[in-house]
Amino acid sequence: MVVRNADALAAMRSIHAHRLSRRRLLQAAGATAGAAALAGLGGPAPSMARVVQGEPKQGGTLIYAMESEADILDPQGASGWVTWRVHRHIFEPLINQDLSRSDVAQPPLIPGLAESWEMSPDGLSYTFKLRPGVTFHDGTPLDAEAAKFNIDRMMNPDFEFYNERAAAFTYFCWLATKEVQIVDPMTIRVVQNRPFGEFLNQMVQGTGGTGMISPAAIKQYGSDKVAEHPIGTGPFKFVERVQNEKIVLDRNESYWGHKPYVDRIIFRPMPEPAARVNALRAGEVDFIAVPPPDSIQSLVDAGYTLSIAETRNVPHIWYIHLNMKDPTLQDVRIRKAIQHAIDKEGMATSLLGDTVYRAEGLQAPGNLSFDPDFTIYPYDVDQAKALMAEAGHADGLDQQLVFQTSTAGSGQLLPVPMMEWIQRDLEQIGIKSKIDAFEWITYIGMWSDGVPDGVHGMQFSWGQSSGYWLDFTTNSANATPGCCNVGSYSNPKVDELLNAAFSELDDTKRADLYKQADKLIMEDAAFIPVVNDRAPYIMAPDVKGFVHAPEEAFDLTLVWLDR
Amino acid sequence: MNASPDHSLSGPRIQPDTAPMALGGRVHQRSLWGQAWRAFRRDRIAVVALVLIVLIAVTAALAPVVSPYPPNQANNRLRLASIGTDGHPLGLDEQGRDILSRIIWGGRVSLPTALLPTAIAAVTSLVLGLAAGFYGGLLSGLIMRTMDVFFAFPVVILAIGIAGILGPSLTNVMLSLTIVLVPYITRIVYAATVEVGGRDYLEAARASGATAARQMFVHILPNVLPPLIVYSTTIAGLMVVYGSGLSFLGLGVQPPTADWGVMSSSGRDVLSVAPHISTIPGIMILVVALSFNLVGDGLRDALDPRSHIR
Amino acid sequence: MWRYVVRRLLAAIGVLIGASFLVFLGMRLVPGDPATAILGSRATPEALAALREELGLNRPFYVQYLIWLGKMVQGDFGTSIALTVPVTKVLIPKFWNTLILGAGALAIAVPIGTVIGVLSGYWQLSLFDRAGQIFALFGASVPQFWLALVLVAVFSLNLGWFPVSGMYDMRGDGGRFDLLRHLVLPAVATSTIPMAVIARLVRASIIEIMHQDYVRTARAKGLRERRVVFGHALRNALPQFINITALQVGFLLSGALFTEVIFSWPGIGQALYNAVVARDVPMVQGAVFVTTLVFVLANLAADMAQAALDPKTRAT
Repeated sequence: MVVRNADALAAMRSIHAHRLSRRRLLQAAGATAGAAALAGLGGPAPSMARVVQGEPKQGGTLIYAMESEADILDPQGASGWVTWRVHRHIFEPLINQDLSRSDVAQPPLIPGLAESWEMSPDGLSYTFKLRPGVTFHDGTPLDAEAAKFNIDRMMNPDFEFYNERAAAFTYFCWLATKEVQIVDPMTIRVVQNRPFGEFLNQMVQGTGGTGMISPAAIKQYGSDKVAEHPIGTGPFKFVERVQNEKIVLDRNESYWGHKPYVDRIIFRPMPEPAARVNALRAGEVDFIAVPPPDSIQSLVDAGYTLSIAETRNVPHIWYIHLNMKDPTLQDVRIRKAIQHAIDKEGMATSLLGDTVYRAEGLQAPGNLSFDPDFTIYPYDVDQAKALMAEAGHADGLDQQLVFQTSTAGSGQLLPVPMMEWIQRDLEQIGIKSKIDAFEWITYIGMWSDGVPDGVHGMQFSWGQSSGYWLDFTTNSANATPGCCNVGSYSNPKVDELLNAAFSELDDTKRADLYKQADKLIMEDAAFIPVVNDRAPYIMAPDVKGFVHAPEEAFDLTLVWLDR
Repeated sequence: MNASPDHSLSGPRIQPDTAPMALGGRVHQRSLWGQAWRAFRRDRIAVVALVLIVLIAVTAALAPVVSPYPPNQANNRLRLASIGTDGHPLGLDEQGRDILSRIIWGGRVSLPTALLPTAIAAVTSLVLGLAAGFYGGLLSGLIMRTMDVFFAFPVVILAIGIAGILGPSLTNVMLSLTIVLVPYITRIVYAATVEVGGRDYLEAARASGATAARQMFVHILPNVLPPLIVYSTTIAGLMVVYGSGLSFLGLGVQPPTADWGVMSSSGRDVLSVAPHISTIPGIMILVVALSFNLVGDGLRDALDPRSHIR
Repeated sequence: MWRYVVRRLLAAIGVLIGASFLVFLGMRLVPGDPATAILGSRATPEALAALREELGLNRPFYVQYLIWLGKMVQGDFGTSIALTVPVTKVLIPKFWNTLILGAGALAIAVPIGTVIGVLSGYWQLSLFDRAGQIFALFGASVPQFWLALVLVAVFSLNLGWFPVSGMYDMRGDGGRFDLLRHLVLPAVATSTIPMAVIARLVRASIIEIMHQDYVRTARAKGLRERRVVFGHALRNALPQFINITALQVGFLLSGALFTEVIFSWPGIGQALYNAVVARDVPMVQGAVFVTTLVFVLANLAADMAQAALDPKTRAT
C-alpha cells in the first residue's frame, strides 16, 4: 500500500498533543493507506493513484537497500525473498503475478511470457500460448523451444542442460509434471502425471521461481555459470554485480510490457539495519526494506514515506516447528500449554511496534486457503498452567527445552529478541528454555536436515501465496529427510486432507480442504505460529508509485522519481 | 618477522635495552618493588585510574547485590526512555531493560573478556619467553620462529578468523584473543630474558652446580616481571577495545547476556531516536581502556629505573 | 646490504609458509568434513566426492597441505560458498579498496602522530607533552566501532558534511573528489590507534635520540638548536620513524575491519566479516591470507627501507 502518511500524521499529531504510540501511528498509516486503496489504486481506475501522486516522471536511478546479499542470479536455482525481488525484474515466468494491486487477498495470476493458457478439464495437460515478438536481453527470441529448454533444465534429468540445483529449488512446482511438448513454434504443452491444483500458483513462487533464462546464454556459459550472466526477458536488464556491494539493472527499452519509469535500479545489500536507515537519511539510498521498528516513527516524522500492509495479506509466517519425536513434547497438553503461554499480541505491539500481526493458524496469509477468521489458543496463562498441571507438571518441567533460531535472515524480523520474549513467557508456566542462534544460511542448512534429538523446536519464517505451502510443511510424506516438515509432524487425517487438496482442481474446494487441514494441525498444536509480517518499507519522499502488493516482492516498474 | 617489542602501545622504553636491574642483582630487589610502589603512588592520575578499574570490577562482581534491576528484566512501557528517567538513572534500552543494571552486569562479561586472555597469555608467554631466552639454541629457535608466524597475522584479523572458524561464542573470542596475544608478550619476555643475560646465568648455574630453576627464579624472573606487567596492563586496555569490538560484531557473547560491545551494537538501530543506548556503553569501554593505559603508563614510569634517573 | 636483503626475504618467505600452514590447519578445524565446509551444506554428493579427490583428503596430511599450498600460490583460493564466485575475483577489488582506506588513515595518522610525537619528545614533560600524551591515550583507548557511530551521527546525519556509506555516490559517476568525501570519516575512525601509537613511539625515540652522544656533541659544538634537531636528531630518527609507521599496518588492517563494516566500505575487512557471518570458509581463508600477506610485505618493505637508510640495522 502506498502511504503518503506524513501529512496525515502531521495533522493527527497536532490533534493529539501527546506523542503517538507506534500502534496508533501504524493504525493511522493503515487507515490512510486503506483510503488510498479504495480511492483507486486497484482495479477500474488505476489512474487515480497518479492523481494523488502527480504525473509519473521518466528517468533517474532508484537505489534500494536490501536486508542481505542476494543469492545467485539464477531465477530457477535460488531461494529467498531478497533474491526474488531482484530476479523478478530480470526474468519472467510463463505466467506472472499482478503486483500492481494491493486490495486483493492474493496477487492475481496474469499472462507473463505466455499470452494465454488453458488447462484440460482433467488437469492433466496445460497448453501455453507464448507471447509473440518477445526476445531475451541478448536478442534470442522467446519461442516454444526456449520455453521447453528452460523447463527441461528444471525437471528433465536426461536433458543436456539439466541443473540439479534448479531441480531442487523448483521441485514443488514440477513434481507432477511428466513432460513438455512443443505443439507449434509458439505453443507448448505441459503434460502432468496427476492433477495438481496449485500448479500455476507454484510457477510464480519466489522459492525457485520459474523465470525463463536465455537458452543461448545457458549454452554459452554453461548451466552452472549462467547465474553470472543473467539474461532474461524482464523489464530490466542486468548491468553488473559487485558482490556485497551492488547489483545494477537498467531499463529494458525493448520490453514488451509496461516499460519502467526509472532508468536504473541499484540493489545494495546492507545487512546492518542501522546502516540502511543512515543511508536513507543521508540520501544515499531511496528505499529500504525491513526498517528497525523503533526507527519508523522518526523517519515518518522526517517526511519519509512508510509503506506497510494494512490488512493481513503478506504471505509470511514466523513460526516454530516443535519436535514431534521428543518424548516430552509428545504430550499434547504440554504443546497446548506452550501455545497459551505466549503473549503474541504483546510481542506484536510492543517489541515489534505493530509491524506484524499476531498469527493464529499455520497457513500464511496472502492466499485463498488462509482463513482470516480462524482463532485458537488465546493468551491465557491460567489455562496454560492448568494444562501443565493436568500433564503432571504443576511445578513446571524438570527439563530445559532447547529452541534454535537464526541471528538474522529474510523474514526472520528480530529472531533473537523474539525468542527471548517467548523464553520469558514460557518461564511463567514453569518451562525453562535455552536459545541457540545461528547464522541464517548455516541455519537453513541445519533446518532442512530436521530438528535434531535434544532440540525441542526450530524457529523459521516462510509462507507462500499458494496454499500448497501447508503441504510441504506438514505432510508426513515431506518429513525430513526431504522437505520441509522438519519436526516430523504426522497426522493421517491431515495427510488425507492435504492429498485430496493436491489433486483438487476447484480453487474454492481446494482452499476449503487446506483450511480444514490447518485447523486439525493447530488442534494438534505441533507448530507455534507467532506473527505475520506487515512487510514495512520506507522510502524517500520523492519515490512515488510504489504499490504494497500482498506478496513478499514488489513491482518496481510502477515506481517513479519526483526529482 | 621484524616486529620488535616496540609494536606495543607502551613504546620502546619498556624494553630493558640495558640491564641496570640485573646489575643491581639480589640486593636491591626488594627495595626496587617498594620504590616502584612509592613512585606509582605519586602518579595521581594512574592511582585514580587504578581505583576506577577496581571500583568497576568490584561493582561488576557484586552485580547481583548492587544492580538495581535484573539485567534482562524488561519494562515494555519505558522502552528507549532516556537518561534521568525515574528509577533508571541511565535510561532504558530498546528492550525496555535498565541500562545501568546492564552496564554493571556487562562488566562481568566485558572485563573478563579482556583480562582473562591477557592473564592467560601473560603466563603462557612467561613460560615460553623464559624458556627461549634461558635455554637458547634449538628450543629458542622453535619457539620464536613459531611466534614469528603468529605475528604475521594482524590482531583482529586473526581473532575474527578464529572466532569465525570456531563459531561465535564468548569462549571462542577469549580463546582467539589469547592466541593473538601470546606472540606479542612472549617477545617482551624473551627480549628481557636475553637482555639480563639469561644464557650467562645458565652457564653460571652449570659451573656452580646451582640448579637452573633456581637461577631462573632468583635472577631472571624479577627482571622479566616489570616489563611483562607493564606491557600486560597496557595491552589489557587494548583488549577491552578489541574484545568489545568482536562482541559488537556479534561474534562474542550471545543475547540476552549483556556486554558493553553488544549493548553498543544493539543501540545502533535507534541511534537517532535514543542515542544514549549506544553511547553509554561506548563511553564505558573508553573509560576502562583509558584507565588501563594510564595505569600501564604509571607502572612503566615506576618500574623503569631509568625514569627515576631522568 | 644484499646479504641482509636476502636474509630478510628468506625469513619473510618462511613466515608466509608458516602462516599458510596455520590458515590451512585452521580450515581443517572447522567441525565436520572439509569438503562440506568448502562447498557448503547444499553440495551434491558427486561434487563432494570430486572435491575430496581434488584435495587429496584420503592422502597423507602433508600431501593435502602441499596440494592446497600449490593452489594458493597460483591464486586459486577456491570458490566462495555464499557468493558462488571465485574468492580471488571477489578479493582483488576489495583489496584495493582497503589499500585506499589504509592510505587515507595513514595520511591522517602519520603527520599528526609524528608531529605530536616529535614535539612532545622535544619538550618532554612540558604542557604540550602532557596534552599530546593525553590525546594519544584517548586515541589508543577509544573503541573504533563506537567512534565510527559517533562520527556518522554528528558529521553525516546532523551536519550533513560527509556521506554515511560506500566509496562512491552510486548515482554519480565517481571521481576523485567523490571518493575523497567518502573517505574522510572512515579514514579518521581507522586512524586513531595508529596515530596514538605513532605519537607515543616517536616521542620515545626522540627522547632517546636527544640523549645520544652525537646530539650532545652537536650542542656542545655550539650548533644552532634548529640544526641540531633537523640536521642530526630527526635525520637519525628517520629510519625508526619508517619502521614505526610500517608497524601500524597491523593496527590499520584491524581497525579497518570495524570501520569497513560500519561505513559499508567494500574492503577486505567487510568481506572477511561477511564471510565469517556466513560461515564462508574459503572466503575467510582467502581474506585472512591476503591480509597476512599485506602485513608481512609491509614489514619487509619497512625493513628494507630502514636498512637502506641505516647501516647499523644491516649489521644485526
